[in-house]
Amino acid sequence: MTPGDGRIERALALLRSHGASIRGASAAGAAGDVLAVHADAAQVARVRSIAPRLRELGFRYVAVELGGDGRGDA
Amino acid sequence: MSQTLSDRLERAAGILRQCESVVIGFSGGVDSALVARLARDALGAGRVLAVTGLSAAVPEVQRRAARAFAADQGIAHLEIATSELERPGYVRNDGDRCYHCKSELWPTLAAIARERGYRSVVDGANVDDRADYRPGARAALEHAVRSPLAEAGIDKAGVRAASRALGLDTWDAPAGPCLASRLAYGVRVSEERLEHVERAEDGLRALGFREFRVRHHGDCARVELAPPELDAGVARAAEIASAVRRAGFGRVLLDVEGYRRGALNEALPLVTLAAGRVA
Repeated sequence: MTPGDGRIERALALLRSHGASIRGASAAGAAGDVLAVHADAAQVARVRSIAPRLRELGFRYVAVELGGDGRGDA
Repeated sequence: MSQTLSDRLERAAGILRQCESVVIGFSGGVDSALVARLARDALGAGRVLAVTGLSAAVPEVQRRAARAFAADQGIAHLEIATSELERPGYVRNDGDRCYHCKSELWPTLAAIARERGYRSVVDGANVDDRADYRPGARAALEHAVRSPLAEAGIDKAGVRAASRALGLDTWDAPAGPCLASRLAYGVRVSEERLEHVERAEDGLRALGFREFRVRHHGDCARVELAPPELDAGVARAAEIASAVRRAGFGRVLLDVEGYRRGALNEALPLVTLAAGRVA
């Protein structure tokens, strides 16, 4: 799984088709297996409702980015 | 308590009596606490020694709980330093990490048992543990460690029900596996990463959350809150992010599905991929 494999674009399309108000998405984690949705925390319930379908795109975990710009190391 | 559970507890007590005297691998969690109490009741306090292995993977909150429980129950308690962080297989953190940890712990406890005249070493594994991915159980088998709860057919719900009936404060304690279990497979175990996780979880506890995990994925923290606490987590997202960043993480994510036991085991097929990419 790599950033250019289309998973992110498909995840964004799925999220938007379900009415989620999001700023973007990225793959996180050393294995790239976490979908990080860039959105307000208030969107958690909406993202959760389609989490199984998002995981089907090739992610193990679906999460919302809490603040910041999605960059930085642990 | 049901008759079935009562029968199983008696079976566990019988297993402990067969052991004659025991050293218990004692974390202070709900399972090993119940074994310690059953052993004390079945054998007498003089034939029971609870031993807690200490390393950076054991959070202070757990150390305090173990000490308090043993003191409250009148059970002899020994703390020993363990060196799993010096084992390459443990640090590598592939799917066998728990095996390498327990391969450090059980021979140490067996030596203590021999030196002090205890006949057996026992642990707190229950029936449900056998259904989960538990490579540590292989080390227990290799070192002849007995599991009275599992052997008697007692599952986690039974452990909690029995603990409650016996008046143990641990009956509803959240599960508390070691801090290394928060590191995604393939993310190398280090004291620094374990400290970050411990501080982050202390921060969430201070905010009032009760059941959660801070998962370390190498480049981010992924917070899992128990589903009943997820709405509160959304309302306090900024505080969560702040607490976890203060602990040393640069990037904080809130898992939308919440805490689930053994969540990192879902990624085991990716271990080989990840192991080569994480320093």
